[in-house]
Amino acid sequence: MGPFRHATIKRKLILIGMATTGAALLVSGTILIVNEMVSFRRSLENSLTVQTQIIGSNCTAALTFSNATEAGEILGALKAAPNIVRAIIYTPDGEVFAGYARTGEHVTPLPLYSGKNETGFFTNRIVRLQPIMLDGEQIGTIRVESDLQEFYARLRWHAAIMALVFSVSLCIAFLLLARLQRTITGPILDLVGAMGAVSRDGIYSVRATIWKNDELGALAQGFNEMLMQIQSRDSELEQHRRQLEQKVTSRTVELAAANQQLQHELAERRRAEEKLQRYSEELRAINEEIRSFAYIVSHDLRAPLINIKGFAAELELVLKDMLPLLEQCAPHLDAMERERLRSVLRQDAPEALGFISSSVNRMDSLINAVLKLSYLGRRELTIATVSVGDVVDSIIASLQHQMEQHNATVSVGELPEIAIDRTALEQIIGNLLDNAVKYLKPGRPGHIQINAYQEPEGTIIRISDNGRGIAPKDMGKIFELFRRANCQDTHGEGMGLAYVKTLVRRLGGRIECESALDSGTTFNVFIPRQPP
Amino acid sequence: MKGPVLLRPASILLILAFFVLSVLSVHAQERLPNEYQVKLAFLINFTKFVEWPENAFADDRSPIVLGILGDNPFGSNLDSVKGKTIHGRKLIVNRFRAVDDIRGCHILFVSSSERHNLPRIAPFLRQSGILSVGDMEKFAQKGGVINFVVENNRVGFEINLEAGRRAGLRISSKLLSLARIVHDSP
Repeated sequence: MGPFRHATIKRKLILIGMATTGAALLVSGTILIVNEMVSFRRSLENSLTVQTQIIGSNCTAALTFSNATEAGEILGALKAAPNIVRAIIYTPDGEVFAGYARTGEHVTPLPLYSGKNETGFFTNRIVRLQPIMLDGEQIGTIRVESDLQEFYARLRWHAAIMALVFSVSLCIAFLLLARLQRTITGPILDLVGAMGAVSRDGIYSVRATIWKNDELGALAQGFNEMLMQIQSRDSELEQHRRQLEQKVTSRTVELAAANQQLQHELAERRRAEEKLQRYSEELRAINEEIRSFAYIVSHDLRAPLINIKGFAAELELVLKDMLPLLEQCAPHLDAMERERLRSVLRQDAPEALGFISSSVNRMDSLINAVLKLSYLGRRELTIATVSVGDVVDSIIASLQHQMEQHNATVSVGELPEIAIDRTALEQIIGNLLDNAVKYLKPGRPGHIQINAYQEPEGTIIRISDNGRGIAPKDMGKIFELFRRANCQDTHGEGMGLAYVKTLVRRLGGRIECESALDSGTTFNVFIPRQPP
Repeated sequence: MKGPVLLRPASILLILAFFVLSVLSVHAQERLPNEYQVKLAFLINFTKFVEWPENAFADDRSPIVLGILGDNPFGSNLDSVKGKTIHGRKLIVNRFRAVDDIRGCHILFVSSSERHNLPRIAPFLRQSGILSVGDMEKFAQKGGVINFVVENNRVGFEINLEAGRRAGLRISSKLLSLARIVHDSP
């Protein structure tokens, strides 16, 4: 199949035709010969059977009367049939009774078969075996052998005829195919030529000749149509390409401009970012400065404050020492001066000292608060798993006394364990609960609720009360330092919520407040799952 | 001094040889059929190559009768053929003392003992439907159909075709090919 695959279509067509013709001839010839030989063999067999029967029947008397000579003579008649090689008559005991052999053949002793009708085929012999019957009784057996020379001669003859027919037919087939293949290869070769012109030289204007109105004609027509389409597409494509090129050129210009602008913007942005960075650093530095300033200021402020406190106490003692002396001096003064001195020493001076003392105390506590706040900003956080419930319980326990005073109850929902700095959490909840208790509405039983909610990014702890609430105008200030809303009937520095806010912010969370005046306040503290 | 003759070694050997030979000959007789056994077999086989006229039998099943005229040379062998079936007919054997006794017979074997009565028998043989088989010289020439002859120790037979035709018998050519054909003669 190898070389055939690369043969020209012409050669292939001829080969296919020849192969088909050859195969058909071979098959039909073989079938004919086989059929012929089978029927010939059958006729040979039949004629042998008839001969055997005749000879056998003729021998009945000779057998019956044991006349072997006569039987031999009867068998001798077989000379007329040159194909008979030998004939033997056996007695019922299986012994040879009489025999005949063609010149050069042996008569005896050949095996007796079953003794029944039997035909045996061998490569060069047919053997017919038949019982000799007389009056329903087997009186002997006859065996006649024929050679197959005639059979093989006929076979050779058929084979020769077949070979002749085969070769003549193939020659005719070849001549016919050589002429007829042109009707198929002609259009194909034409098409191939046209295709070559198109593919090799890129000439789209060529057209294949349409020979006939058959499949090849349709192929050529299809090819031509395709060429036409390609041609029109080609020109269209060319046009598109040109347009596209123009578009690309203009777009490229636009793009370059845009790019330039982008570059410019990027540079600007970079500058802005740098500026931001710088500001941010500055801010951080300032912040740090403020923090240390706050620390230093509060620390440095305390020293003079302690001095003031000390000297005020000293002054008080001095005043106390002065009073008996004054009483001694009293009789030497006139009444008005005496009264005046008394009122100064006994009333005005102690009063002033009292003011000084209370102001100093207040100042001290303010400075402490500022110190605490600045400390909060510096303290290192230690994140660990903390049970919110435990923290809440311990705080409630410490607030027990105040709550009893305010006739307040607390209900605690299910609280989770979260990762947080324990001290920070204690301060947050402590301050919020402290506030809640502190700002309950007097004369109304207080109720405080503590709950927690899990959110995808963290936990919300909600603390709500039914206290006096916050007026909308104050809402903006509650988280500011030293601010205290309206009622001043409670003591405190106004630092609590500022702490809380600072702490929550340090933990990366946020705090929100909802409130309505006279009906209560709710604080939502969001603690992120992963603290900074 | 000599002992009694029968006790001499030579005599004993002779007696032994006689016994051995006699046993052997008896054995040989059993193996090879004697002349009359062959003739009886032939007699039966003739029937297979001869066709009788239609009126010779009452019907398809009626038996075929073998008649023996004169002495029985076959001896007890004759009993062995009784009851044989030939062409679908039973074989019956009848013995006749004289020609006048002969009735309903299909094959008539004329024994050699009747050699001298042949002139008396011959006219009877012209009767239709009887296959006559003789065992004597000139039997066929004198009107019999078949006659046994012995030549070179082989049993053969002669056939007189005219006699057969007279008796309305059809004799197979196969049988004829084995026989010596003879003709009527005075």
